[in-house]
Amino acid sequence: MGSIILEARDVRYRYPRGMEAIRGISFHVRRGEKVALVGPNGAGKSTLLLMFNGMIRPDSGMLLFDNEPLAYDRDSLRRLRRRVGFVFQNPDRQIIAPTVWQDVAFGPTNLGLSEEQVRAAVEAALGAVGLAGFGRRPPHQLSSGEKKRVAMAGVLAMDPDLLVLDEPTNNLDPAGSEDIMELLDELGEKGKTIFISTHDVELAYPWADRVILLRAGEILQEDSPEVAFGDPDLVRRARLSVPALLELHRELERRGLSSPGRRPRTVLDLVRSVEQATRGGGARPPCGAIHVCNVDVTGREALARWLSAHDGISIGAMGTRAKQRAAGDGLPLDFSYGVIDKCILKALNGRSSLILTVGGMVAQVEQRVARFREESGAAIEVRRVEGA
Amino acid sequence: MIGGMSALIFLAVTTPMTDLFLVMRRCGIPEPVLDLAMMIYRAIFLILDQLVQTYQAQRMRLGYSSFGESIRSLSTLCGSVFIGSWIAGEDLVRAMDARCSAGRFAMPGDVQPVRAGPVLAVSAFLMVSAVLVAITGSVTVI
Repeated sequence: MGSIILEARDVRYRYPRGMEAIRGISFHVRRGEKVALVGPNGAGKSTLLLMFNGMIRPDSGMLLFDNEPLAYDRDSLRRLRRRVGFVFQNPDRQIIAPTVWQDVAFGPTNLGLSEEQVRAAVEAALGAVGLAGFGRRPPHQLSSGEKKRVAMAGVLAMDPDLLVLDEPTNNLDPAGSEDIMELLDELGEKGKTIFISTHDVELAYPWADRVILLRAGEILQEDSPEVAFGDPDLVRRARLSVPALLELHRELERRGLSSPGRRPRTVLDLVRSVEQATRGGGARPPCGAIHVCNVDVTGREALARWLSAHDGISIGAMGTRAKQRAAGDGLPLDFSYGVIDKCILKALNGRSSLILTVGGMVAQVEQRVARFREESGAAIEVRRVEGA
Repeated sequence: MIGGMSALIFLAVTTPMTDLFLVMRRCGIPEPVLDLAMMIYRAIFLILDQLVQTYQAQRMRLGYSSFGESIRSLSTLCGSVFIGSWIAGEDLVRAMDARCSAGRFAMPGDVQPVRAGPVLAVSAFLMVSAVLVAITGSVTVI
């Protein structure tokens, strides 16, 4: 666990002529953590988030960034906002420039970077969100998902340590939401601390390291997702719903169809739990293999040749670049979110799959599968698809 | 006047506004004027969006069924779009603050190179137009 990056101490805030929106909130966020602030509409989520980069100043209590109390003079705020990137709920309200390139360049330019540095930052940010080549497009011609990505790129171009996103998947279709969540996972892997607010329980449940349940300006519960969402009474009081996975697990557990104990976070967890309870460690069919391909070193023809030799294999893509490559090569993707889990599920069923990814994530796939192999004893093999 | 309008419309329908901003900066138009122009250009689409949405909502509830109704609906339309754009404007300032605004806009340095084909086509068009104007200069229609 990293050091504390953000801390709130008994923060209170009342809107002018309004009711008290934040009623004494204390919590902390550690470096590299993925935290979801979950609560119903009007719980004060947005208000609280706006305090993180000094847009709203609490009436009492204190906020600390990197163990320094927030100061509210112009220069301190500029320094703070460089390190705390804020993505608003409505991208239309965040995109200010007439072209994508100019909008993403807005932050770096105002930080006083040189033209070369600005250009490099914009290229990198647009690449990271999968919008390379969109620079000259005007924002009003983009889809909601693309606008959201532009808004995120605008913040990423300033290279913040903490990313704060207010309802990042609001107004997006399910596939768009999954893309954004995977992008957040990718950024998390790169060491960014991510804090989102949402009322989408199903989305926050598998994604977050920690969940803060908020209701009427107060923290109801702060814990790992399986604990925070595991108490039906608490969830009802927070006007949320129990994630379908947890509910299913509870019912199966009562019927002796799922092994008690650890609550499942993913479909894979649940399947294993059910298998343990029902199969009793008996013989399992031979597992399929997971093939990993680094698309940066594998050429188009080599990949096509490999695929024609493995007809009908399921394909998943991890990461923005791999997805773009799959789209460019015209490969139909079976999975684009939670890819490793889904491929392990396939393998448990005796089917093989291919994961397209880039650079360091190949090792990540191997580690994740190796860990699963140790835990479950299922002999799933990871094979690299080599370039030639 | 017709000539001026034609020239303006010709420019507007053939050249993306964003490219015009670049050229304007090269011509030495002051930065604050350009920055304002760019934000106004972006705001046009946001306000237009809101206008269409509110107008449709009114139509759906028979807001323009009679003359009196139309007048009333139009006034509320103007009012709500005004308030809406005011709020959008405040949000814009907030969004700029959140990204360390010092009031500067970047311009992409790379301009698309001038190619011979379009240059020839445009000059041919202008020449034909000029000849037409010269020939028909003495003709009075009305």
